Amino acid sequence: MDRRGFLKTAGLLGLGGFGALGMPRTAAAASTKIWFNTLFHGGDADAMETIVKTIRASNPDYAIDLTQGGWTEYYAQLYNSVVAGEAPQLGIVDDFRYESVAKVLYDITDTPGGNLLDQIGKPDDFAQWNISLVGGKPLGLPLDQNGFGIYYNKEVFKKAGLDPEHVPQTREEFEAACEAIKKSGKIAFHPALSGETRFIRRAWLALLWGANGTYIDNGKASFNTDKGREALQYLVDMVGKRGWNKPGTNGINQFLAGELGMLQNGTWFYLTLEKSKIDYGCFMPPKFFEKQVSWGGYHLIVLPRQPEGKETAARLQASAKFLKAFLPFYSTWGQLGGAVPLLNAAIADPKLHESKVWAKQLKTFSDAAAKGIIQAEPRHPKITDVDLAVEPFTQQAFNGTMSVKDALDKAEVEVNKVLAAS
Amino acid sequence: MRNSTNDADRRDLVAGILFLLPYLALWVTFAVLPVGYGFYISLHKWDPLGGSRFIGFGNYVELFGNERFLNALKNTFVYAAWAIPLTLILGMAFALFLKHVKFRGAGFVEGSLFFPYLLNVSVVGIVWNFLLDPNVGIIPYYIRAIGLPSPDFLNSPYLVIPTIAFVSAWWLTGYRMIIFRAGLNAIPEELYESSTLDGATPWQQFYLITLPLMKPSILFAGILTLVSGLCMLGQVLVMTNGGPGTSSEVLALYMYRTAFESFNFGQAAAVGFILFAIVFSISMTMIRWLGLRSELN
Repeated sequence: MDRRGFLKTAGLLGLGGFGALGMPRTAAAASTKIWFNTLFHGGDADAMETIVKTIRASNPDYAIDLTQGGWTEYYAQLYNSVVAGEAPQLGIVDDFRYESVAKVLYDITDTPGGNLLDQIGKPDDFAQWNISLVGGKPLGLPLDQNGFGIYYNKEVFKKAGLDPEHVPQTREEFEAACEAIKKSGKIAFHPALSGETRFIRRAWLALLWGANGTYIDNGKASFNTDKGREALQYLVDMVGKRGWNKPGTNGINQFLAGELGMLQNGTWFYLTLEKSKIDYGCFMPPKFFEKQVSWGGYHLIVLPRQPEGKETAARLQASAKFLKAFLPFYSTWGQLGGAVPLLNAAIADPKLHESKVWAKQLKTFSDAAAKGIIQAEPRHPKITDVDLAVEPFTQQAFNGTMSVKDALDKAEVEVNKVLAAS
Repeated sequence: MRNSTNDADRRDLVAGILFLLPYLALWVTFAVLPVGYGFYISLHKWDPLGGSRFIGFGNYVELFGNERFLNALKNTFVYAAWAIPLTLILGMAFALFLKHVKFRGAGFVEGSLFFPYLLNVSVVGIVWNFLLDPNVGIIPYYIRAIGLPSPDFLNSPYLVIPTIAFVSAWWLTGYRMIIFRAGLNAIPEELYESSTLDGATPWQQFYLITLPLMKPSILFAGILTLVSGLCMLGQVLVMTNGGPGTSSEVLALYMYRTAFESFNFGQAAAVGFILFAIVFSISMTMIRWLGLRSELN
């Protein structure tokens, strides 16, 4: 093609493109556009992707943009996107961060698009509806309850002379199992997933609550008590005096390498394990102190505030339409994501009860949730700051570089500073 | 005569400003304004949704009374003291080696040394986390294989910063090597030839010819490494999240947490401005120390 020919072709293409801008909207352009941003990564992100793909397939007029994976900066993004007027229409929030982002979320019964809850369902449809309330107002829909359980390697159990079909029911049985696994040359137990600071704190919190202790109370730290120290000492001894593991190790790597007998991990570990070749089972932590408790939390589907304008109501209506279409998939979320779905119809769904995940772990978690064994962190607008203040000290105690007493003394001072600050 | 000289000067001035204008516009938009706005935010109890309150230097005063901030400041300097010299010395050593030692496969070696720089910081962090894992890591495995106890690289308060500094050096050295290679290639060979005839030793040649003539390259690489060292975030975020305890919590991580986990944007902006002031003052000192003021002027 010569230069003149090239210019003519380019000109025609340019005119064509320009003309297309002025054409009437196509069916696709007129579709219901929804941006759904989640904090899921790994197995639960795959599960959400599968659900959204299915909704897309059966609702061709929905243009759903699903973005996932930015866990660490998720809440900052959510907050800043609302400030910038560029927020996703739908998001996911952990209940312990719920209050800290409350002011960037809609009360779903009172939005510029009207009462969206009426269009989606009724509070009675949801299990544990109360978790969606902040100051009596629902800022989202309960999605699931997740929590820690103890995953165990059946081969390691067998080699240690333990019955893989009889899981430890009491603290004594659990300790005996740990000793047997240790004796067999394998690593007995990892209480804190990958060993990151937040997981150590969560493992301690479950023990603290199990000893009938509290984390914060009346706007002050309340964990620096005999119960708090006893709980932390027990956790420290697991990787210290008792030698069930070592500090600084990654329990997930150990478990996937077949070297670890028991690992405390979250419901979300299911899909990772299914992809591995480990023959595993799952049980809830036994009663270590006065009551049986496991650390847990909830996920909520939320509607971040949108910039006010002509399209706001329509955007919110679109979100409600999508959520209405999402409800039948709560059971699928449980089946694929491994957490307890918080919709009554889903919990009663025979398909869920016949699924592999139910047999493998979900029945265990579902029963624990029903019995109130899974306990969530207290709700407080500054809970993240409290957690950040505690974590360095619980980790240092866990590592054996600081005594339990010093760790909790220092953590108490820092937490009270955080809570006292305006 | 005098008028025509003034006119010419004025034309030169206008032309100069016009030449500078595109860069100045970008510089002001993307450097001066954000720094100024950051400073403005740091003087407030900042609420992006409205209702921000002016508190003067309150955020700064609060920071300097906060042990965790002071610890992060100390960690930043400790990290910089390990990472900056390590990166620059290794970069210079590789550049000198590749210039003076001729062998087959030199290109492959140079490419291999540069390759880590092409990786994203997350990849670098995840890979080294696996390499150093006490159970499944290949490095502790070989240390144990030769009969030595493997140190707890990322979980020891004493080793964690030097380990991250080493990982950063592994990641960044290749690019510094390329900068130094360019600087070395720009030095005329005649200088080495004539100094050899005058009886200069290789050390004297390096000290009296190579180093002085490489000042611009050293300054450039030095400032790049200084900024990456003092503002380091990705490596700690991925590898240790500031732990164990707060042993590897550096200023950038502290700022990140203050802003994006605690939503305390005003105080985070104050941390950012302090970091900017540190980097800026050390950079200016380096320029003065390396005697490049006249060249830059």
